[in-house]
Amino acid sequence: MTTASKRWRELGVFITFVAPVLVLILLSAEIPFIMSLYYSLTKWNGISKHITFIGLQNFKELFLTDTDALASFFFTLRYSVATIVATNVIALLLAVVLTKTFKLTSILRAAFFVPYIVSLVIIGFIWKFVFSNAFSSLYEWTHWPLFQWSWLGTADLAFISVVFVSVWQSVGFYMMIYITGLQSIPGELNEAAAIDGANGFNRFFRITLPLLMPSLTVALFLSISNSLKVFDIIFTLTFGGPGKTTTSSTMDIYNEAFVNNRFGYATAKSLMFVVLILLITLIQVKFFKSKEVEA
Amino acid sequence: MKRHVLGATTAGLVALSLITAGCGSSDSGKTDTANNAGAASSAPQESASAKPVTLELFQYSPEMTDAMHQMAEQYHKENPNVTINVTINQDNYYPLLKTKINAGEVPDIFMTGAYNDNKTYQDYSYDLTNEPFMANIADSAKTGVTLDGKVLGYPLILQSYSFIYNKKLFADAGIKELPKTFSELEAAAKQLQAKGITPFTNGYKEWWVLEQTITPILASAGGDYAQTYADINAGKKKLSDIKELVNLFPLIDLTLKYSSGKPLETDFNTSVSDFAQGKAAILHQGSWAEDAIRKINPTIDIGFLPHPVGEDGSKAGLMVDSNIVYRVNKDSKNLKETLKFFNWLTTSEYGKNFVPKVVKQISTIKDAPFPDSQLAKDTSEYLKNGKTYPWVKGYYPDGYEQQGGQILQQYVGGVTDKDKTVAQLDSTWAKLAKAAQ
Repeated sequence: MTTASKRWRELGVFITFVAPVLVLILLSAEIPFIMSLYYSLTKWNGISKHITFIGLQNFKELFLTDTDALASFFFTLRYSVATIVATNVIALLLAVVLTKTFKLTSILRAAFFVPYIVSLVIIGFIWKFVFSNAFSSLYEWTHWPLFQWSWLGTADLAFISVVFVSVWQSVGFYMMIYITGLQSIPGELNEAAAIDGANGFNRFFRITLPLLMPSLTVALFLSISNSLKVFDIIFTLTFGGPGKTTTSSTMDIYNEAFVNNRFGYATAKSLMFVVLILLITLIQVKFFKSKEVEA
Repeated sequence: MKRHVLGATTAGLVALSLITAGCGSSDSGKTDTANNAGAASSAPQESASAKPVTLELFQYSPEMTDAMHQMAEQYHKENPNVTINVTINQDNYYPLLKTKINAGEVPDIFMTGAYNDNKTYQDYSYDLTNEPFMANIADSAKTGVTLDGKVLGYPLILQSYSFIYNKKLFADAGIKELPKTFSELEAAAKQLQAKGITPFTNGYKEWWVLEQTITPILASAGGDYAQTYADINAGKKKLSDIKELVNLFPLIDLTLKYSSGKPLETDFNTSVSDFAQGKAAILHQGSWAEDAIRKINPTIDIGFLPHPVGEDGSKAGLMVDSNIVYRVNKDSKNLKETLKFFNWLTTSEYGKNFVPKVVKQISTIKDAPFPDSQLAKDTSEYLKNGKTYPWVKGYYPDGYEQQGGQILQQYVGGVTDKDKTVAQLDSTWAKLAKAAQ
């Protein structure tokens, strides 16, 4: 077989495998994306047959006058920082503990992972019930003021509730990423360091953590993009309330499109949001890739 | 190796052909609807044949589920060739409806609100002005579905809301006269509290409950509503130029002061069940809540308070309007059958009894009987002898109902004060009015 024909065959195989997916992605993601570029330049209520082209008006309004978009973006940022830090720290701690061998390891791993499999919508409704009904029953029983606070009805507490539920839901998934990362670190390195006299604290921060960087990159990338895109939990748990205090950017866009009937403007908003997410995740991946080390 | 490649190729081809088939069918779907649009104008001339027809009916209001299915069955019995396929959705109704419309699958009949929705859905609503059966609909119900002189919808139900009160608890507290002003309401609340009864349960987790607090206050301003709101929309006036608007705050403060619990965590169901169990004496809700209340407490004795709107007792009234509207898809290929169905719904014996007897709410049909429910009877009393107001929220720009409700939630939660709330109510209105033009 000549090399030329072999290369053609490889190309053929490559195309057969890639083409179906490529076509699907084109149809379901790329073409709608390009269409939305057009809609973002229009004034359209989402169903009318009259679409008015208004140029960059939408973007002008978004940058110059839209305080709601700004407020919801700041909420998204605050929410993201809180959940990213909390999820990753807790997930890492759990992973370190659960890679030690003791009896309950596998049961505990499963227990922490279960919430991740349950639909976010259901989790939102369950916790809504817990915060409202279960807490008031607990208050009648224990009389602890903690249970009488309005966890979903006060601006600050609602923020904590949303962050808490998100962390509780997703921590198991990130724990799994860290567990696989920890298990791939060769034991000899830690043993050697122990013989050289490094204590547990030093071994974790100077050996385990640097070697865990690939997992950290992945986990952070996923948690950043997931928390910036948060929607379901807020939609079911607080509906962006009380007032608009827990309205995330995605919910703001949803409201703009389906409540205010401003499809064109909502498209413009979502495009800007895509650009922002893209920038943030790009910087993050670049930064952490440069920190990865080989064993 | 060769076989694998072949396998992969076939798999790829199958996938590809599936995709192209998908495109093909969706394309042909589009041309189908396009053809229908052309054919629709000629459709009414064709005779209604006996060939099987399925009418798609899409609506919200899940409390009507059983009634709708019963009605569809009845119609199928009388017209064996017609099947009505009822789909009911609550949480995501409007996004779903819009998706259906954009996909070219406009349901034959779909539900929307009145007033502003006339404009939003005008491209898809059949003009019912000259349909003979519309003569049987009460004129007061037609205002909300008329746009530029054209009747673009079929108002189904007359609804009313105000403060609902528990007659027994009011008697226990010795309240002889129904409160009509804020100070009388406060006095009544004090009397209830003195008896150990919680006066209010506030379902302020629902933004629409707070919207229903703004609307009566604004309606009490009276005058030519259409003109007032046209001026506000045009930017000639601000919402806060309606001097009654500030009456909103003493009313909300009052309901908060004389209640227990967590107002922003109390949703419709919780407030209804508190009220039905007698845990609170007053509930700000409408005629649609009676069914839910009676499911918990079948024997409760309830009625409407005239909605206090300030210190002038003569202005207290009941909010009555028809905001549940069916629209006929004007491009429907079953247009003729659809109109026949609405004729049946308006003029047949079953149709006239459907809303009052099956849905148990007030019908908009002129000669329909009144439903056997206390709030409906109260409503008919108010319509005859009392003061009623239309739901002026119909003049709000798109999206203002929810936005306004959420702005007030922030006031209830103490995030914003009175002045800031008024400023937000004004600026949000200006923004949405501008967007709607």
